[in-house]
Amino acid sequence: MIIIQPAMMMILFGIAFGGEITHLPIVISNADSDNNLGWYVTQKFEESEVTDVVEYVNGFENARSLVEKGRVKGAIHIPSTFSETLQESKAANIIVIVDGSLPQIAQIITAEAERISAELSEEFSKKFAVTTSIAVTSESVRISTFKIQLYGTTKNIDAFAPGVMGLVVQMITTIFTAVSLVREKESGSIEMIIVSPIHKADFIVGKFVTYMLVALAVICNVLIVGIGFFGLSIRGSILDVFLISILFAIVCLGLGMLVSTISKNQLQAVQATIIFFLPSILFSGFFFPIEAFPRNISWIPYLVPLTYYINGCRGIMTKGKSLGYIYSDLLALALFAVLTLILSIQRFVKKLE
Amino acid sequence: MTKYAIECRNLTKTFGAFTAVDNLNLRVRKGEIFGFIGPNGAGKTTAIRMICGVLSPSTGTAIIDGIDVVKNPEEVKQRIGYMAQNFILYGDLTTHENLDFYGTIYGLSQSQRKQRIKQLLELVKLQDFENYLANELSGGMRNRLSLANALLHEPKILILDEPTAGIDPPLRRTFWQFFRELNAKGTTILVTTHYLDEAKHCDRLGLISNGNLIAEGSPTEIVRKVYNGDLVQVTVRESEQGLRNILVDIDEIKEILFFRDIEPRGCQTHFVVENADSDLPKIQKLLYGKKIDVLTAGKVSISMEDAFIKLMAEGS
Repeated sequence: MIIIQPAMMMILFGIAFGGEITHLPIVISNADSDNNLGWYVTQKFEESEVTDVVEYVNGFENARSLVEKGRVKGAIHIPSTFSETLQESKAANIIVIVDGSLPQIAQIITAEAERISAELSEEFSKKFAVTTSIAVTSESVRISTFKIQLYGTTKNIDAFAPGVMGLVVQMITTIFTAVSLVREKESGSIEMIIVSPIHKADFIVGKFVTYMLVALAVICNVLIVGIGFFGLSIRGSILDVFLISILFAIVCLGLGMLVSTISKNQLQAVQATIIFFLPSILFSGFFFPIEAFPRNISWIPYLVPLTYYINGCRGIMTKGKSLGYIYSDLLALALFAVLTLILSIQRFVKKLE
Repeated sequence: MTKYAIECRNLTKTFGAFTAVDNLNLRVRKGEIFGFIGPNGAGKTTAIRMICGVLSPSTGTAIIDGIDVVKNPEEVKQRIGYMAQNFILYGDLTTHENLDFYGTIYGLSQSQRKQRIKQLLELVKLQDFENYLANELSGGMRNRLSLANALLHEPKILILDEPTAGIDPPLRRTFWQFFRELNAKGTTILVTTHYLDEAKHCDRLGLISNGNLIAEGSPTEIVRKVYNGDLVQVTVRESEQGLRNILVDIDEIKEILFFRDIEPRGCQTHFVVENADSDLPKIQKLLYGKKIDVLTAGKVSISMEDAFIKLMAEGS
């Protein structure tokens, strides 16, 4: 275990962080009314490795709402006057809508849009030079991108806080639960519990409640330090933050229970926790956007509970949304919670081995 | 209703290739103190853990107060008081907290707990240590706390795994007083020990060796059963080897139990003869003839220890 673990860690890092961020899902709203110059823009985005055009929508508002809902990472809006203004004044705008709660992604999409704009400016310049007889003066075309960043600009702390909170909650509750149970095995006190007529669900729920309180204290701590010292902004309700944190803590407690059933001593319990911990850091979108994973492993983040916690927390804290907005994350976490609870109650046998 | 409080039926436990308890058929009658005796590693604790529902038997089962422990372990747990070999309460809880915690689990109301804990702490003389952490207590105090804990819910059956191991003789005596008092009030007690002198306190005994029950009965029954004759003790000023060489040639000696060295240079032996009154003078004369200095010679009442060693040797 001690020898394999570092190798495993390196492999995970390599897989997770080896590639560049590509294939980000975007939508395009092409409102360009005549002459179809906007079509060239859409083609460029279709050809781009960085973006995947998943849908064409009608109108700026539709495009914007899809980004806001988190369905896509960005949207491109081509205004109705695109071709017209381009031909008249040789200058036009495309509008890029990005999600400010994901600063890395926002930056990548904006950069790609700027690259495409520059490329098109050059191509259109040549094209106009050929079609218009008087264009020997070679007046160049200029396409600019106009960035609309939803949720405004975010500080680094805002982007990282949900991940840090999640990791701290997971680390502390999982290790505490696992170790507290394994310690009972080591000290023998589990034998008295087993020989007493206590119902095993009562015993497990008792452990849950205790470490739930610890987890809540931990969350309070992280929030106080984050807000007090680093100006972390919570745009949504702080109660919602607690709610999703409690849900996440239940998942971690269940995980700790499961770890304790497979560990014989405290050292093993800590090691097993770390094995669960690593994928959580790497695959949850904490450091690196989950969109950046190679296609063949892109499903892994969806198996990591922390992914949903971070996503949900970003929804509440950065975007200022209510619980309804992050219902899918809550649902996923609830599912994990129920699953780990049932599994741990089932795995915990009121017998000595 | 069965007359047995505990009845093991072909109780067996194997750990891999090792058989800890082998087809054990043990019956503890209601209202008796049953002593479960055997050397370390004989399978006493494993058997007891199965009886309490802490370990699952590989095969067989135990019926406790009419309830099958394999089918209905939780029901059994409510009826027994268990004191494990090691201290298995919470070391970082106080004496009172431990008792209060388990009192709650056993379904005692708050007023019941208050009264019961006070009563038990007085019984085991821990009333001055109510607010000490269990870890701060001495070994003997922790044993007393464990006993109090086992008695919380006034169980009809008390199962005690080496309750007197590692505690000083006065406390051992006190413990056996407790047990007899409890027994007098109708509690059935199954107790393991490897102190053979404690066996005389029991109504009946079961001797276990290598996972097998090798003898069962009252202390006097067991002792009588062991030898068909009298046990003789002889002390001489001679080396063990020297004495052994002489004794093996004497026809009157049916069996030699053991030799033990006596300071400064001497040796004591126990052996069995048909009739001590007639055989012992002959043997003494013989030894005298061999120029062996006999210090003492006489009939001994058979101790549990002798009986046990004999039975162990036969059992293996």
